[in-house]
Amino acid sequence: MSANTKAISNSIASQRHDHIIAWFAALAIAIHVLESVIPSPLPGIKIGLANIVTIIVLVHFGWRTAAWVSLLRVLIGSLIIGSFLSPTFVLSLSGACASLIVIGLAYTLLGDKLSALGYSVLAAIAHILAQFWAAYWLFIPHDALFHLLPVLLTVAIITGIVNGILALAVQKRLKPLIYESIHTDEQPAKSSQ
Amino acid sequence: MQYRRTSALLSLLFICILVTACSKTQDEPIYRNQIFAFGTIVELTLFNTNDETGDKLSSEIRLMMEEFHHHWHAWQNGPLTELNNALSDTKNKTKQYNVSTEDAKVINQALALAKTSDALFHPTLGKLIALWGFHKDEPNTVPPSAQQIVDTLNSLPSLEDISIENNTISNNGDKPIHFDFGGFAKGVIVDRTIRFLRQSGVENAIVNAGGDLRAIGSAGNRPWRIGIRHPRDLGVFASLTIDNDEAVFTSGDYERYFEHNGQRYHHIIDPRSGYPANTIASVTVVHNDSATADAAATALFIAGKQHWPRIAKSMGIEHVMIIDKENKVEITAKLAQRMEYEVTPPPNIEIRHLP
Amino acid sequence: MTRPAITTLDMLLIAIAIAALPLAYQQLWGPNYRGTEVNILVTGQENQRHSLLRNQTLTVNGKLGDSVIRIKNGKAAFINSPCANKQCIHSGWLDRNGDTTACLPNRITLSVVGNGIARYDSVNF
Repeated sequence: MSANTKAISNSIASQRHDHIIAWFAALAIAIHVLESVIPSPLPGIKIGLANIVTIIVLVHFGWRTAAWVSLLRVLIGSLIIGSFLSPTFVLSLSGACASLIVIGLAYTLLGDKLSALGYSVLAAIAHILAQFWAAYWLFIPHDALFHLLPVLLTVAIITGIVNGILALAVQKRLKPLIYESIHTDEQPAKSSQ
Repeated sequence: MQYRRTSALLSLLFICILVTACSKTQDEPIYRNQIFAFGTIVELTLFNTNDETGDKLSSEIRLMMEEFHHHWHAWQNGPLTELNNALSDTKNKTKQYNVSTEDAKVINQALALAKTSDALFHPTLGKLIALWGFHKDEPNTVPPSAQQIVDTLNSLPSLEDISIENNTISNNGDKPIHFDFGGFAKGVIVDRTIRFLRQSGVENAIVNAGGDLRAIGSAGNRPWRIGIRHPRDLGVFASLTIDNDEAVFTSGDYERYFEHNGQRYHHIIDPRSGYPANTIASVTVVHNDSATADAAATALFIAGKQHWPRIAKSMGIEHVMIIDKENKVEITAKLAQRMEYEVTPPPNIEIRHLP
Repeated sequence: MTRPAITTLDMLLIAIAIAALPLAYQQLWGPNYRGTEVNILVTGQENQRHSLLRNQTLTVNGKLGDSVIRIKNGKAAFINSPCANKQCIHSGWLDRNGDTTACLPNRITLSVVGNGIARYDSVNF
């Protein structure tokens, strides 16, 4: 491939890459906003269906795209709900960042040795731990909060598994649709490493 | 690629270490010591104080408390017994005694608190307390007879008999006056210890003298948390955090008592009947001054279920919690907001409004 | 690209996560603020520290005579004391950081200390 064609294919790829991010982010935002309407049984407990999108993007398009989708979702989602810069937003953001870091590291180490299920569980645990610490240090520095942690962890593992299974199911249907785009998409990303 | 994996692995390890390090609550720079003084165990909790300074302060506080204990002891020969003798001596026509300005202040405060408490806190019950034996390390094992109690009650002076002017204390009645500042002196010495700590540059501390305490400042980035003992169990019934500078005093029927024929006789004697006050199990008072909190805890215990709100109002106390014998709680609205119950199931709570 | 199928590592991860849960409950809900050592203070003597992990019976000489303190299975208690009303013995077994009891007449206090923060900085009694 000549330098010229490589540049063109890169620009096409990056355009398509932007589209993928936008498309998935929009989907995640929609789920995020819809889910915010469902009343939660306990503060801090949420199914986190939007994370399914992050996980699918991660296993199909890599960590960078997943990070974009996840952060855009938190940012724009909070703007739509009206919680931007509120405690809810800070908790959301810290959860999202922590799960991105953890699944990013795990993805580099393990790649496809873990499926969407494994990544989903990892992400859920990282998410709740980070949220918990943020809540403890920033908002409620009370030791009694620690009594909640085991419950939150239990819920995190359950929702992680549920979301993981849903992600796998979605993946099966998506597979034929996005197979081609992955191959054209991941090539430049990989060769640049 | 190899490099990336290694660095990812290292980062993951780092995160694991970070999480475990954070979840293990770090040791706080708190100095703790227990000393025997004032006939009880005094626990000192000093924030941000090293062992050397803490030990030095502990021994100074111990000396100060022992000196105070001796000074105000109603039964061991010392300044207070001299005062009591002078005020009770029938040959001493005037029955007057001069005390230092500092001592006059203490006696004045005790008399003032006695008045606002409707004489339920009474600083001249010496003879009655002694009749029950609660002035000794080891109390009696048998209650006094009804006749002895009536006789002793009749021999006690009333508050009106005592006057104090220009540091001169006079007995204007014909009965002997035997001051006993139990139920008050502990509050005074806790206040003095706090003052001493502040003068020594300690701004964050708890002084707990045999279960009654005053806490100042905080434990760094969190407030001091105080547990209040369960009156019928080993363990904590409820807890609260200290708002900068407060005394927490509890009087309970479990503190000093003896049992005779299945009946419990404890150390909080009702000056009206001469018998231990018997309607509740414990009273906790939170107030900014220990001496007042101490006298109030005693007075409210004696006032009991029916009358405590009135006495609390009269003594200017806004934070009160009563635990009755069935572990039911009566509490003022102000204290209710701050109290956390540590028993399961949570107790039955009634908010009582002061008149 | 990951195949949309559950892997062995997935199952392992979930197994570890679920296995770790009871531990979290035990640590944060169970007998929390567990003590690690007992501190015995006798007036006028050096403090004595003993691990709660080593079962032993200690005889401590106080003002009135010998008090006997037993450490057993992570707990400590007065089991005998020369005082009259035996309140120290009635206090029972202490195991949490911050638990304290004393034999006042014999001038001996027994308190449990731990590594973490005690639930309470001081207890009103």
